[in-house]
Amino acid sequence: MPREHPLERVERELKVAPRHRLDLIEEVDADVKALQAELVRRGRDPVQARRAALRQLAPAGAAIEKLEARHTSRLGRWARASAPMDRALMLGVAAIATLAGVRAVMALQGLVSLGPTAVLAWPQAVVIALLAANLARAVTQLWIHGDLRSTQRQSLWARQAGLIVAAVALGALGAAWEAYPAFVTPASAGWEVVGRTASLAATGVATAIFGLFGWLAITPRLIADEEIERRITSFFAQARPALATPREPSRPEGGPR
Amino acid sequence: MTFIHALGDIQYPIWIVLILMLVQIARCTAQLIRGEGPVSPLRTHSILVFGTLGACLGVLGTLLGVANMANVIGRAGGVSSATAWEGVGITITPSILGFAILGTASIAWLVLQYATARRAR
Repeated sequence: MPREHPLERVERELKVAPRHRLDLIEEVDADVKALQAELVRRGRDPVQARRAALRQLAPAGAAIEKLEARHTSRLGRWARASAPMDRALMLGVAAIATLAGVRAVMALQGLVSLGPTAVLAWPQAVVIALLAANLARAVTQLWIHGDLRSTQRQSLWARQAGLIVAAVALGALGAAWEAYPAFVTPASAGWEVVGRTASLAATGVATAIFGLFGWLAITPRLIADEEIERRITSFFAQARPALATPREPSRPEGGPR
Repeated sequence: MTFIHALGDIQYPIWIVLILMLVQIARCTAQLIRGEGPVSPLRTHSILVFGTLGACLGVLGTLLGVANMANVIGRAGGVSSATAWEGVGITITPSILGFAILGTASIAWLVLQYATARRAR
């Protein structure tokens, strides 16, 4: 029969940093155990005492919102309370990142006179902006809201990796496009073609480095969160045999299935 | 020109990446030896990310070197093939270091993955 620790629901619903989630479930669990012991001492059946203690102490609804408010930063509370402002913040970050990408492309065109391959420099600016927006989203979730679950983490990393590959591919495509005429008609090729080819490839690699450095910058926090989440999982795994209550009422043997 | 001189300015971020990668490898190894539970997969994967970053920095150094070399030769109006090949040799140096970092990172990552899986059994 599938069993779930009663506090797993609370842990799922709480949108706070993993270290606060661990502290809270440990506190609630200790309170539940104390109340259960008290009820048993008063003559209640242990299972009934456990259920009564959980009913009384496990937070739900407004209590969870109150706990979230207590453990979220002021900026996080403000962003959560005004969802349009949260979106405006994200759009602002994306706009700044786009401007930075456009500025980078314009600086590249100032350094090297790009021919028709300039058309590939603009998608590169879009990739830089998307990388910055993806990182900004991860940073907002981690440091302002405090809660970045593993599924979100995986999708953010998948997006980051995809964008890094796109940046390298665009750089390589630009370099190949620039170098192709030199291979077709080697006599017309000069050293400036080599310079342009190398510059375009360098743009792709530099964008990839930006994406990798950005992800590495948030990795220490991700590692810390992952270790605490593992402690939460082991807390529930250890407590399950002794403390779990059935999710569904058990049916008599031979009854309808 | 020595190997270090040939690396140019890109060598500084490459050395930083190398040091950070070695620190990460040492932390993972120490955690495995002490037996303080399983090593965080993110920590192990970050070694590979550092390796990739080192390789990217090396390639970037080479590409910037080639672009500079092409500009200089273009302005000079041509050089002998021996000088041009010497320039190519110098520009390749950061890539050699970068790929050496990636190679070290991938070997360390494979060994740590194997050791973690063995310990988990």
